[in-house]
Amino acid sequence: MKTNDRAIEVEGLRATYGKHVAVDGVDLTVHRGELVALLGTNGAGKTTTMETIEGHREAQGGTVRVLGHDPWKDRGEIRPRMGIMLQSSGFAGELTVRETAKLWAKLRSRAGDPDDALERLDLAHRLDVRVKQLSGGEQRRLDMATALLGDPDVLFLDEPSTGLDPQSRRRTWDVIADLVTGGTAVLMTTHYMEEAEKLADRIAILDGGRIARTGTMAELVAGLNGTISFALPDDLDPRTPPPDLPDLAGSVERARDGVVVITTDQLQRDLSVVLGWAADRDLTLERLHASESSLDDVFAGVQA
Amino acid sequence: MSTPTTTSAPSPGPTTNEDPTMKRSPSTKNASTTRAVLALAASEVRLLVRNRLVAVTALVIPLITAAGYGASGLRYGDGWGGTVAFMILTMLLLTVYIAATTAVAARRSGLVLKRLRSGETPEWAILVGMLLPTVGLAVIQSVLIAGMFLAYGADLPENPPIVLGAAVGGAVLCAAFALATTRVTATPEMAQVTTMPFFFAALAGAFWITSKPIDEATTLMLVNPGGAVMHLVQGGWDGGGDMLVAAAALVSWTGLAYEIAKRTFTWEPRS
Repeated sequence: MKTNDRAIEVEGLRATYGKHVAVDGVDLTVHRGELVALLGTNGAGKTTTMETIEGHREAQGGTVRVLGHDPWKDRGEIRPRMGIMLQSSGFAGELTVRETAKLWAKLRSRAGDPDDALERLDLAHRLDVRVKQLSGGEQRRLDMATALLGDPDVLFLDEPSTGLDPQSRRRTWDVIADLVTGGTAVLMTTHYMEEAEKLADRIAILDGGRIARTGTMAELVAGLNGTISFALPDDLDPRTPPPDLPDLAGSVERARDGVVVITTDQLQRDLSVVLGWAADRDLTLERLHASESSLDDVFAGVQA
Repeated sequence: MSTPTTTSAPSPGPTTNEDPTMKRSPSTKNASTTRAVLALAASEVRLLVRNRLVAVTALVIPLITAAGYGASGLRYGDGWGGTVAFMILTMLLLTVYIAATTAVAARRSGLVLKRLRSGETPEWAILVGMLLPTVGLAVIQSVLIAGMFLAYGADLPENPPIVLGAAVGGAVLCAAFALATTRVTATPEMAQVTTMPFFFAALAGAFWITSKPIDEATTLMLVNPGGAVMHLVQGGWDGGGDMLVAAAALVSWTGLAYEIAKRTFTWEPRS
């Protein structure tokens, strides 16, 4: 990517609440047409990082540039090009969906048609319902619809799919993916590993206000072990690994509740060996599962 | 107004990534801001109408009270000005001060203010848009109260522009104090308590100044915010009084409340 494709540039960001340091030395770049996911436990500094980049808070150190501007000082210049979905909706409950969308369209200098945004987020059938009567998931979708008004160049999504049912979540993911394909730079926080794996071009994992790991999904899981697990038939001792299991590249770490777990950096080879061993003994391996390492494993490694 | 912060982050000049297409002309910005203010004001009117309790408190009670006073023939002073002034002040305190404090606290605790601040509308425009309907409503109610007393037989005001100016100035004063009061008002329910000191201080000032004929009002009576509004309306209606001192007191109190609000206003609930 070219240097001037950078929509968000953060260097050495530091944010504090009194004496408490919430964010300490965060570096982050998001290019146009790229989605970067911020992961971390509660209190890791995700929302503070996000809100400082949005210009809601002034940084106590480091530099933040959004579209080349300081988001705190040049708020008036860059906000027309930004879409922000906060962690909580913050809409007046007595207004209807239509009234809320129209209000937000009037608050934007280049809004477009609010009905289009509502249609994209599957809210067209709820136009005359008051916001307080919407489900939590519908309120999140309304929040996203208003954030999309004006086709922002930079989009901030703070836990966008929290409270959504699986169908709505996938639809929301499609909308986000379309925006990224269209060139929007997206910075997103999430607690859902699946969401980050599905959408993110790059992932940054925050821990204690610092970025503990960052990279593409492939980079993050590189060097981590895959896992094979299966349950043995009842007549075999479930407490110990099978003694006649051939040599594996990985380790048979333990057998618990009748399940054997093999951790390996040669997943395919060891899986073939296990399957061959079972076939020779005419064993049926129940609950057989083999998987590459996942973001869950990366995340757990950071927390450990 | 900004969330108070401590130190500034180092900020280099614009980089090569700065997008020149983002520059907007002042006239475009002004048009957008005006449209935003009006949209927010329309939204607030809608919310006011849909919240019956607030609507009755702000709209009906002041008018019923004024009607009762007019029918009773109770007067403060020789002319009708004192009674009209007292009714207008009471209405300003109920319709603007208490209602606006409650509304802003409610919007803040519901994260509406934070959400609005995430958009491109300037902070001052968000607050003006929110408060405009209550100020406008107060002016309309002032006119209705004046009309009601005229119907009860009051003389025509000596100087209607001063009466109207006092009503508008009083409404702005109450709006500014409402913003300042939100600093100690975490929830809309708390507004019932936190608004009481200013509410009663203003009313006490009003009662105090009515204890003397208008031309014998002391400077101390005039510098009370309630006394200043009372004196301006009464003087505009009946004639006499020291309009200059009262007007200066009104402007000074408004400026003080604005400064307090500017320094202490928060856009998010305190954690």
